Amino acid sequence: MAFKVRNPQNFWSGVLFIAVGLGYAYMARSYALGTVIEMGAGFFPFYLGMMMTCLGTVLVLVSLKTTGEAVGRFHWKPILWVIGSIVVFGFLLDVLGVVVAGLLLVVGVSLGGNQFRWKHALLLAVVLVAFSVLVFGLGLKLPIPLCPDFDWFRPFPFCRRL
Amino acid sequence: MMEFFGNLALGFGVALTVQNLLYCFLGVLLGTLIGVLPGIGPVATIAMLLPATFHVPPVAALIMLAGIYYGAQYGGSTTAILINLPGEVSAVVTCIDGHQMARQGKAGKALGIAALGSFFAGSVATGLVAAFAPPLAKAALKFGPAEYFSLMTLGLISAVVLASGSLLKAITMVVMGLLFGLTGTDPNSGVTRFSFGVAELSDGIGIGAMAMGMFGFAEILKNLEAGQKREAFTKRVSGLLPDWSDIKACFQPTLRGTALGSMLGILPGGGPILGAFSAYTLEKKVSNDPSRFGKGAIAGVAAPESANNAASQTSFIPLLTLGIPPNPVLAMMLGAMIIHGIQPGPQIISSNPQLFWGVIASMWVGNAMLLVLNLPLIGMWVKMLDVPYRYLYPAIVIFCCIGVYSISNTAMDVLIAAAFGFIGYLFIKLGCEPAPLLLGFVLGPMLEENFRRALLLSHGDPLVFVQRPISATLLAIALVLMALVLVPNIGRKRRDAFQEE
Repeated sequence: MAFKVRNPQNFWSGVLFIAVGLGYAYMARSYALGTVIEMGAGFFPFYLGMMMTCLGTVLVLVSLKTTGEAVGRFHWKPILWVIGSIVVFGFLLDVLGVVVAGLLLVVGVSLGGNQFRWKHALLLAVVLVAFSVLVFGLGLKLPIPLCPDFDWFRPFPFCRRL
Repeated sequence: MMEFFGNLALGFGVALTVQNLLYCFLGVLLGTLIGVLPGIGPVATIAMLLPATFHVPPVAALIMLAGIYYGAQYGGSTTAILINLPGEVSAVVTCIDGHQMARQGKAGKALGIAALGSFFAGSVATGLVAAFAPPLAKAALKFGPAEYFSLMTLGLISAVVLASGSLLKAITMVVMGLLFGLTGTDPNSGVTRFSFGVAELSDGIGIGAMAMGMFGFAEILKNLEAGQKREAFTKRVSGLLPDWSDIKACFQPTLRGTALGSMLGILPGGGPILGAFSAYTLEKKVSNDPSRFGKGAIAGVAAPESANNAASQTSFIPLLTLGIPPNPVLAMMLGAMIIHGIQPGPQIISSNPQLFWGVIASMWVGNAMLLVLNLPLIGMWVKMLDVPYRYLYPAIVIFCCIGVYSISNTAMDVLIAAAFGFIGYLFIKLGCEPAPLLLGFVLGPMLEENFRRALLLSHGDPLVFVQRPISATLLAIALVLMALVLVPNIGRKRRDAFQEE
């Protein structure tokens, strides 16, 4: 008997659900299950994980019978530039502050788009960073680091660390 | 009755202070802005602005966040009518007839009707919230853990039923959301669960980080791969005020839309989107000439626009009286309340009447402001639509990043948001809807807590959920809802309704 995936979206969703469900159920085993009257930390997640696994299995089985849409193509260029730039921003923000990390973020994210031009991206970055520093940093006083965390920036009042 | 007006007076006393008026204005202004701009919705915006509300009083903060929510409903229709793209999901239906009207040169009239209908519906629905919330909250005070568990189950089931696409997938997404929600320290035993050794995760996954990733970043990734083509009518917008014959044509549809939207808004899992779809379908059914729909019928704009605004107001009822958010935006509001130290639930009305009535009164004030913002100032919003996406999305990304960092002042949340951005993109590719997941995520800890407590009180007897009458009724409704979807005929109608997208 040949298996044919007729509904790829549902098939792969099911596979994902089974993997996540089993993962959670397995991890929940390391916490106390307890009894029905006094449930431990693992009880609820264990059974939810098992439930998810069952639902995923049904989804996979049904996807062999019904027809459905294909999984769309992954466009890696925007994914890598956008997600990558955000991750880099996350790592750099505490060290370099919004002024530097923000510039890198805007330029990096812009590289993920279709009509990238250095001049436009840099200009946009400067405008957005200035806006963020003025409105979020100085206006709304959000607790974000603004300047790079180096000694020679300390004397400037708006560079003071919280 | 006297009490009702006394309460409203108290509410307006709070809402009309200079500070609260200012925050209300700010909220509806921002709401309109993000409503007009496709690609950013109220969930991501509230997550972004949450930290900015930390140093203002909770009433002002909630007034502003609420304003963003219903303001977005107004703004969304502008984009739908002018460029045939829903600025907000709830405006999807408005695209159908609204854009046709624009092509016939009646864009101004469509915009005017949308704004006036929304205002009417918003006013009526605000009154409904004021009238029905208190008795409901009184009833809810009698709820024990079993009732809460059943109520949340009902909420989650209706979220699933109303999600588009596969029922099975939606249920599994809810379960996944519940599991994600359990991340962090178990309140009963103090054990840290599912933190993967990351210290920041011992407090749980931040709802802001998750929402921003799945609703903000994932959406951007999706938009970047589709070359955007827009047919914009941004040049000639005039004749906003409808004439007498338009008003006559719209009067009944607006009333029906308001009624339907108000009812569906209260339902857990319901909300503006469902309200708009149902109102449109209803108008088509009762119309003398259904063939006009899709070709610029004015009723096809008035009804769904009234319905989505009415629903966005009444969806505050379950949040304010039961502490249960009926949709993702209100889940964010719930998060905001908790951050501000307010425990949502039936006790809010008695313990914090200023907040409760103030927020309600502000909704009417906000609706009035929106009318002014949307009619005379429409030209300004239309200009916003000319901003190219290549400038817009980097702005959304940097504002989101700063917002998510500031919620709990940790860079880890930025990384978590990035991860959820990719996960959200994966879900889009797999045809899985993120909304049920977010609801499950918010309700996860509460559901577990009440489940455990109910079984502790009943000495482990699971029948407790069906032996208590209220709990049993709620579960029965949930079952009926599930059954309705599984019956093929109705299931097909549900698919049709969503296919009109």
